[in-house]
Amino acid sequence: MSNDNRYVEIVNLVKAYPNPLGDAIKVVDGYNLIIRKGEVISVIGHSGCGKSTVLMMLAGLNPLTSGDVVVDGRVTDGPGPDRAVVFQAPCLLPWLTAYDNVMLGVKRCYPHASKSDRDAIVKYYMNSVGLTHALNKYPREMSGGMQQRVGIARAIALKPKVLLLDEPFGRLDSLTRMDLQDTILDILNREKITTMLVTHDVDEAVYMADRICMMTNGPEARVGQILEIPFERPRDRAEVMGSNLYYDLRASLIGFLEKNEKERPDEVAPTTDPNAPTPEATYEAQWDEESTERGAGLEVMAVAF
Amino acid sequence: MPDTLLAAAELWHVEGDTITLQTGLYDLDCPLRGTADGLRLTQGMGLAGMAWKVATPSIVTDFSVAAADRPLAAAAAGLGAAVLIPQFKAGQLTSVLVLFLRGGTRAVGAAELWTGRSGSFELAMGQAWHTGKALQRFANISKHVHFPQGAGLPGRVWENGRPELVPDVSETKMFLRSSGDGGKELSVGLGLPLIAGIKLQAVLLLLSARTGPIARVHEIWEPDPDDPDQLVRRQGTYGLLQDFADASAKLSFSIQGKGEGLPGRAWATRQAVLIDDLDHAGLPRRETAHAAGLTHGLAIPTVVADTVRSVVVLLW
Repeated sequence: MSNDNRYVEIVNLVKAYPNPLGDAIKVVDGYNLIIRKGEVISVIGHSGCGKSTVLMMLAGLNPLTSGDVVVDGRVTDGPGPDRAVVFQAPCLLPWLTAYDNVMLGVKRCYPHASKSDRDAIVKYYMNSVGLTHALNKYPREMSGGMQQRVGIARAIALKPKVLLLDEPFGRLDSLTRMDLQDTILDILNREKITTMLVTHDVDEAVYMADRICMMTNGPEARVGQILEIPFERPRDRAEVMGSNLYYDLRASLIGFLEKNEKERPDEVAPTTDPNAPTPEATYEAQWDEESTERGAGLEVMAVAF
Repeated sequence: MPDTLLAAAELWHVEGDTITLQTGLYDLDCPLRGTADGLRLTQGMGLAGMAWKVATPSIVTDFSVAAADRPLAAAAAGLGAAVLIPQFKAGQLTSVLVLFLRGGTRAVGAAELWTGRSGSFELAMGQAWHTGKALQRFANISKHVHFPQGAGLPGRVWENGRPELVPDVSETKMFLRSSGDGGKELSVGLGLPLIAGIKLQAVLLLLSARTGPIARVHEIWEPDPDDPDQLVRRQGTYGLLQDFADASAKLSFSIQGKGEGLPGRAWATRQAVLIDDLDHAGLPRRETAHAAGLTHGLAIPTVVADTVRSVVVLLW
């Protein structure tokens, strides 16, 4: 099996914070997710469920309590230029122009490139986000949408293996938001960057993602289920939104959010006896590839996980 | 008394180069009753022969296909689907359990096989049967849902290698697919790992509605951590049968010898046990079963590496 299928591996991720009154509080517990190379995955869930915590751990900006994050076969250890983050706030340096804000990262990532090469890289990515005309503008001279475009150019210019978007359109008006979504999709279609997008917006999640990871409510949040979005790329907004399937997928996501909103962990009756025996260690949770390949009607299963 | 999703069940046993009916559970007026007596099927013949040949679980929804035996009886019985579950001992397929599920316009329920896909590291829905208009959207969405290990009911069953009951899938936050209109109809859900040796072939989900639960009693029995020779109840869902629930709460079944009760017998034989006369089967709960109007019993062991880990008991 190609390693590409496991480009980003998040394995049994746990984030716990100390609790002076008792046991540590596990915000995220047992989060498992495999992201394929070039895939765009949206993470959706209620406020405080731990979406951004997972993203920040993937970025290396928030240490893991336990578990592993593997990117392109290498276990991550802290932040690195292979994972670029775009936050809700553009976080531009106010004393630098748009050009210089992007150049800052390019210098770090391309230390041996010539000055003219770096210049070309910055201008290429500024052009990608439609800001060729604003190279010399300072952040105070740009709208929120323009600043966010600079932030995106800055992230993508690093040629990251993984692009991490933490509610990047959260502060933008609807039209700017849609415009920027299309800009990012254009870039992702071209550059094939593996991307995780944290969002609250159901429409945004469906329109932008190949798969949507629905997180359960915290504490001890984990992946609840994953929704595959089967629309072909490149996507046409009108075409996607004209599809009946779009509304079914959307309704499913909204239903999931509504359901999680109504329930709190202590309101859910336990379905398992607390004294239940623990599973034996002999079970390997593997697929029986051999027998299923023989099977009629069943799809061929994967090699042992 | 509600119509259960389970309409009938059969256990077929491999004998040499044929497979024959060992036991069948049918309602008194079920047209399937007696139709398999004396049948000797070879590999690929009929439902059991088909499961024997492919040695993997499957769901059959078209009883008129050549491979399905007794199509007329199936149609007369109002069946919607049959779930074929091969059972193994020492790496050999020894028997096939066939679960017949009720169809018809009033039925609401589903059977789903969640399997891995080449190149994927999640469970996706393989074969499935959904019945009832209310489940149309649920069925459509389910085709696009995947579960990593530990996520959702299929992911948890996969991770633990143990069956799991969800008493009310429309209410619990642990069953996210039930969100939205379609899922409101659903009630009891059962996730069953189907394992050959130590490898998972599929996770079978049976989902039923309030108006027609999978069975009338659903239980999972596992060894008592303090006394591994005794099986104690890990989970149980009883609907309105509160007396039966109360009578079962403190029970334990020995696994010594031939095994005690339905769970003990399934544990001892390492294969499904079907009993069509709970009243006279000499079981510890026969009186309460009689009072509750329960007649049929089915025990399905989860066997990992020839060691039983858990027993699902369904009574109706």
